[in-house]
Amino acid sequence: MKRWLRIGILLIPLVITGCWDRMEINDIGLVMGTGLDLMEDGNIRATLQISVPSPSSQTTGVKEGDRFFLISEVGKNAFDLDQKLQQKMSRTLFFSHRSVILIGESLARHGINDILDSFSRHPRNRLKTYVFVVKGMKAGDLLQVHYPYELVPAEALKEMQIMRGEGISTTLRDFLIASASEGINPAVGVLEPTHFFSSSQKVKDELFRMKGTAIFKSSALVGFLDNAETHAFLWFKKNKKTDKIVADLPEGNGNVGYFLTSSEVIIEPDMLGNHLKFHVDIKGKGNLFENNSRLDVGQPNNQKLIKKALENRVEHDMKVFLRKIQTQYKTDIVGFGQQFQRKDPQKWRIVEEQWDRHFAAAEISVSVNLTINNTGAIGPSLHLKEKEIMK
Amino acid sequence: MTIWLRKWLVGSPPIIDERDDTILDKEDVTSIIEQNEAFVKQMFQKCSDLVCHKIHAVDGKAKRLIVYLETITDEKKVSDLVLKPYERIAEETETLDSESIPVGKSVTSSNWAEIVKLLLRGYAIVFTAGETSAVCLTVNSLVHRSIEEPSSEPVIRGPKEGFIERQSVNVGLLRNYIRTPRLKMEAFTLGEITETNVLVTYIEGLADESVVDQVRDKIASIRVDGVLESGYIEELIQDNPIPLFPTVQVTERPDVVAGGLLEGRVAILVDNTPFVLVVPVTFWNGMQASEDYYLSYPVATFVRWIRFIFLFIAIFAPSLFVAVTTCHQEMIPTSLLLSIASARELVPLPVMIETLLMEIMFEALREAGLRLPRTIGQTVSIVGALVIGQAAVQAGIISAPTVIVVSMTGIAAFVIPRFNFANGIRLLRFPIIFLAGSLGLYGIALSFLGILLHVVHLKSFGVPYFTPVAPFSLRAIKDVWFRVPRKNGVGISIPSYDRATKAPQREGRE
Repeated sequence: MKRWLRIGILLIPLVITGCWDRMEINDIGLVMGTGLDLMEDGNIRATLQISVPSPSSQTTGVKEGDRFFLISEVGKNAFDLDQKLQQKMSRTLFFSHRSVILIGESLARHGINDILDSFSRHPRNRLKTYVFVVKGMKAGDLLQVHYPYELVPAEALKEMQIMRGEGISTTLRDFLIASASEGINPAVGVLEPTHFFSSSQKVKDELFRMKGTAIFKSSALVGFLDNAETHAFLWFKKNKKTDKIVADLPEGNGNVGYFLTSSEVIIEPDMLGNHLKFHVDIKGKGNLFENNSRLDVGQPNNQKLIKKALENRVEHDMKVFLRKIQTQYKTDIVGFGQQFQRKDPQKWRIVEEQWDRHFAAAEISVSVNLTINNTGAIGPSLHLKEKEIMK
Repeated sequence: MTIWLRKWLVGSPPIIDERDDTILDKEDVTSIIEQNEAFVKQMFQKCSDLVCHKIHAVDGKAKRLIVYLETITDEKKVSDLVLKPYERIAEETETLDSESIPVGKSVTSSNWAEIVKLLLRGYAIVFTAGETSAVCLTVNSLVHRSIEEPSSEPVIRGPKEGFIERQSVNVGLLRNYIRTPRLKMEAFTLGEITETNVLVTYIEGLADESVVDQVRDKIASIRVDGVLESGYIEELIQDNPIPLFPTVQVTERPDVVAGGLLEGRVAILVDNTPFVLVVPVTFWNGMQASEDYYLSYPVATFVRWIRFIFLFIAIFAPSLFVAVTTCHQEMIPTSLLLSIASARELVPLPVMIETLLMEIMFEALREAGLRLPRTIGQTVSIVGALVIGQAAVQAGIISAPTVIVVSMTGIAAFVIPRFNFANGIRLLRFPIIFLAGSLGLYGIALSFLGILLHVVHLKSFGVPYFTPVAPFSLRAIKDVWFRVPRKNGVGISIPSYDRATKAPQREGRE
């Protein structure tokens, strides 16, 4: 008997330390996405996209209603907003499944330091949430767009980010790491409103697309990259695996499409005296997917031609991109500084303080080496007559 | 306190009416036939199957008295082997001793107690005038069904014969597998009233003597009114205080018993039941089927792994579902959570209650299907499937994911080859669901720890229950996780626990 009493006493602390925070699924409001905008008076407007789990029509016969709804509130900071938003909800706001955070352009330019803290502090927040900057529209308004495929549009945004090679995918974690690290600045994807036509009516419906990159400097937006520059930037990201490169051929009046399957970029920092030099060595492997010219790609000479054209294209894009971040924005989003720090921590101390200035003055050379693994099993295009093919 | 508790729980031991026995012990067979007849008739008052047959000598005096119970004797044997020889001899007034009667076993006794016992076992008792002892001859008839495929452990490949209710037939089956005089069978009679035969069987030299001693001691110390099935003995000999995990293996298959004997284990055969007990047993034995050793080893290993996986599912699937959906929604992939949420939207009950309800319903269905006559049995499954699977979900009382989880668990429990292992595991689910519903994954971790502690603590006749994993033995463990090819030497003839435990066991005893 005494033994059981002892066991009981031992069990009490085991049980009372447990997680008693049980919540039924029916009692939580699943927040799928958050849009944050800066108001004119300096307050922040937060818009939450909350999914509505409707009983599936197949078993119950209930007509499917809206799959999501939005609530929006203005407040001073995240805590204030959270409190105000909860007052509008019959269910507990549940942030663990939030897949995207959209930041309006004005707020991004103002700086997102204030709200970043709450995202990283609350345990229910996911660090794997994707971050976007919304250009040309209020972030809250973009959440209103009905997306035909996915249950909720935020899911669509997540899926778009997972698709690699189409844009940079930055999670909250990436953003926090980049902004906390030395010698690198965060860059996030940009969303833009666009339109589509639905099948039934001729009216334009709202939609969004991913376009370009937003460059941050100490948590504030400084500028944008366009699509071509973003693709150049992607070389430095680990996710450049399924990218496509299109290059015009100098002769043979056509162009070729190249599908990248693997890539490697090495940054070689070098410092002679006060003169900072970087060499970017780009290597890529891939397959030829399209050939609009009359060249027979089976011929080694022609292949060399195509390779040269592709390499020139990549080199050109890369130089444009580097020039833009060096001279226009003076922001190192690639992490040249990080590489330099890793290679030579001693010399890094000299440039550490004014890295952006040093970065802007650095000389960056680029060399590209692409390998064509596969020309698509056939030599020249099938539809060409024999005499049209250039051997 | 504990004595009081046990008395309160079990009740005081039954008082056996020993009046008849005392008379039997005191008196002996007399030399007068009529006295003996009167005594037997008095003893078997109101027993209509008693037959007393007197053989008269030429002078008309009763020379011999033959007594038997017609319901348990072979009447043909009685007339051919007992009556005829004695009648012939009665005329020739010669004496005839028990040895010259051509029946299997015969005993000469003058003790009434023994004679009555033998009479009740189907012996014919022959009293001769002028002699103070009686000859008891085996003419009992073995009423038994034919040998059939065991229903509790069916196999595709392997012997299809199963034990039956008659012990002697069972022993015969076993003798067919192991033809050696080293196969020992020690007989015990248990039950003050039922006088049930119990055999402790082992192979001398292979079986661990300490285990045999323990079994012998435990069986010898059993005091009960009656033993109707081996379950009585199983409960009385196991050392497990909370018998959720059986420390005794129960089987209906002679090949399983033979395999166990070859591994150095001890079998206990009880009369009147086809279920034989095998001890000691480890947790891993419970996960092995006899077929493992008949199939090719890759297949057997694969199936064994499937069993381990489904053992986990059988214990933890419903509680994991409850824990994750009530306390850890962030762990579910978003799209899955959305579909669970939409399935649950109309359900008014908390997940835990819902799951418990469904589990209980499933157990009820199972029990009903088992107990019902076979002809109505199908109705239960149809009604069950329609009502639970279809109507309850459509009505929004139960959500579809719960039905999926519960039915998966139900199937998983059937994967466990030894049914008595599955029983405990089915029972364990309920407290774990409760813990999972209130404490989340932490509760599951707690219960897992608790189960592990309990199981590791268990011993089956001196052998730790988790051998060879918990007292670790690399050699023996091969046969637990894989069915090792026989040519590698680890097969049926190597005792899986023996090598692993012998050393620590000895240390413990001395």
